[in-house]
Amino acid sequence: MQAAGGGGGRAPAWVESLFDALVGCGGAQLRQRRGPSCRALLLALSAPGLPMGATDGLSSALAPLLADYHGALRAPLPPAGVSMLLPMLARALREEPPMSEAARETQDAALALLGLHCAPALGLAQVGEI
Amino acid sequence: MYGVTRRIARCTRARPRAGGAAPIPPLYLPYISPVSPLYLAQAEREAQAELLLAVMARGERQHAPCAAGLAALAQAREPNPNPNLDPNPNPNPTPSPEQALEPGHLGPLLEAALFADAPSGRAAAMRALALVPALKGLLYPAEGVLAARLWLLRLDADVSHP
Repeated sequence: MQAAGGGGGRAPAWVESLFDALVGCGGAQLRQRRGPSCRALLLALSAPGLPMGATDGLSSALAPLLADYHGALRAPLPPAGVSMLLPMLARALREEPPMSEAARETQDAALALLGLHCAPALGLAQVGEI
Repeated sequence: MYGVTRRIARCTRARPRAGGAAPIPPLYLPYISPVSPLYLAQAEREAQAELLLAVMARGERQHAPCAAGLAALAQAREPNPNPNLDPNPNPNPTPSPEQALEPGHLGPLLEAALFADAPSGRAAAMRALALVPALKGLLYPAEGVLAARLWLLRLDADVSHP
């Protein structure tokens, strides 16, 4: 991102196409939210170490998107999807208090999504033959 | 989920009714199994641990889910008994244990186990470290220093009684 956008300026047009294609490889859930996910990922990667409030438009992009993922996901995303979700979660979770109610809800959704993707596999009970 | 899988399995054994759809061939069952291993790079696992520890450091409100997340990150997944049917094959297969945090990526956990402000934060990091297979079984002799610190931490009164 820094190489493409020079660190501070707007990224060239081909970067958006590239990220759109990358998000398309992240699994069905990301594909269903391709536009908002691509936009939020581009914004999140523009300043990876900073809280979400430090980038214009990122908070408003992440709030509905992470709430949507939180409501929709019942199982972890595939690894490629997690790799693309992680920068967004990191930006949301780096927001420090005091924060608005909306930012707190975004952070709660981000934490729930992070927790969902911590387990190496879904836990299943030991069962006999079916 | 298991109940759903059972029902699907029952359908595969059922004979098709006249004019009805054919049952799902049992061959496809492994592909719709809910067992979904999640292979991530160690750097991504370490980033997840860092984020959880950062949230914990901000206050007690989210300690429980963060501690659960750390414990999940540290633990190993049982090796897949049939890797040919794995929908997410591991691009970097390692000898068992798979997908737990490995030596070289334990820095955030060790740092928190030693220096986190809240006793419950130190305890959560230490419990997660205790679950790391490399430390648990001392599979890597070079990690002896880590293991020694872990054992010393067990004597920490704050950690023993959070």
